[in-house]
Amino acid sequence: MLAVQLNQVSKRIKGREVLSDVTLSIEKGKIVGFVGRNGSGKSMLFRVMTGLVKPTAGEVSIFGETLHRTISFPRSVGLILEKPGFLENYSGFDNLKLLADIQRKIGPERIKESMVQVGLDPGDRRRVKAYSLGMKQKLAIAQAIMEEPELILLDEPTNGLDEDSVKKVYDLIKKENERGATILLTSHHKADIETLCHEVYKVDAGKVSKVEGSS
Amino acid sequence: MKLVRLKFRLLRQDFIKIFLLCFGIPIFTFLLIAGNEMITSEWTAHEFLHVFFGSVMNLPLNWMYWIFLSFGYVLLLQIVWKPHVHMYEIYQILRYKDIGLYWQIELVVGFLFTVFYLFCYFAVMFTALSVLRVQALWDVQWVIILFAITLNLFIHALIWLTLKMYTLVEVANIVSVLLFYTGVRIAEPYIPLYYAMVDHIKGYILSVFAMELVIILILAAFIIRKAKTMDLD
Repeated sequence: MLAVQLNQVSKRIKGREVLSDVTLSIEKGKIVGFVGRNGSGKSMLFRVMTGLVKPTAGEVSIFGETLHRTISFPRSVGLILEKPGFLENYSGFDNLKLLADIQRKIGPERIKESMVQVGLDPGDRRRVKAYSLGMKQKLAIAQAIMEEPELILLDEPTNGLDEDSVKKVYDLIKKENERGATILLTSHHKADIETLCHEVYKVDAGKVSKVEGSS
Repeated sequence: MKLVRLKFRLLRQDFIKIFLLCFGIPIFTFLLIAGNEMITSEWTAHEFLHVFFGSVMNLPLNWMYWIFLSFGYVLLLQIVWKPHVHMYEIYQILRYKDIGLYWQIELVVGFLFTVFYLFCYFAVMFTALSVLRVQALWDVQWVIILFAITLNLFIHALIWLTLKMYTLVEVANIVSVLLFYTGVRIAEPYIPLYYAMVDHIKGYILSVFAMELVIILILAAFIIRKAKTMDLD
């Protein structure tokens, strides 16, 4: 079964084509990496796949459902994009609790568990404004995985993390994949991406091509 | 309902700002009124209402009271409708699954805060007058005026939000300020604020309320329609 399918997707913003005729299919249960320079269109690709941005042309389907036709957003998705964003005056746990309360799929125990998985202390009552960039990034990852979504998109998930934490995140990605989640990620660590991912795509000036050698 | 409660929990971090606005503005306005008018125990509720919420055509100083009421309301909306953190808003929207629902909740909460703001305004005025031991304070007109101003201010809020979404926030701000300013200075039937003033609430009040409700629904539909077609960058 296909988890993600893009069919001739283009996106034009203020006269500039940021995604150009992208066609790709990603099977369920894969870990897929996207590499490319800053501004190449990786983040835009993730925004289009999650329904946050509507393509100028073409179609995006997630698990067989077309975005902006049958559904507005994927039914089960976890996402981190660029810089993490949280309510600065709340603790990390409270931030996640407020999000989890929207769907009420999970309780406090699962929130705490996901925080521990990324290396955060759920009992830490400090406000997010006292967090380092690395801690905020970990909180963003916890936010993306806590509801055990079928599709997880991680844009530069290891930004601001030390070496040990990077390893922990990669272990977590593998674990989530073993659970059955399809995972799409971008990273500057090309070597790590090649080790971790089943398939790798290169994004360059809005065009997406499969990297030779990736299965 | 649980999603509305969630929005209230998000706004808890702005509690002090909201509290100061909802009580500070009416207290300040009352002090201004007390400084300008000779408030005596012989006044009736009818007279008080005309001083607080009457047209500038009859009481030249009224425009100041209206300006403070409007100014406080605009500030309140900036708190209630501001995106707390853009990326956090995206995390929320992906969980709502429906941007229309997200905006419906924003609008409901905006309306509830409009009611709360005006309720606080009326409560402060009522209490202050009671403290001054004036007579015949209670009148059913208080409720009618509260309802009329609530609908009217909410229309202004929706005009601001519609313009913000369809044009630029600067355009929305300028138009809203102009609507309030001309509304309190000129008081003519073609300016929306006219219908919130106690002197203009006459026999045709029900048709005005009905028309205002229709306008609210139309503007809300425009806002939700635009939200559904907008990109979330």
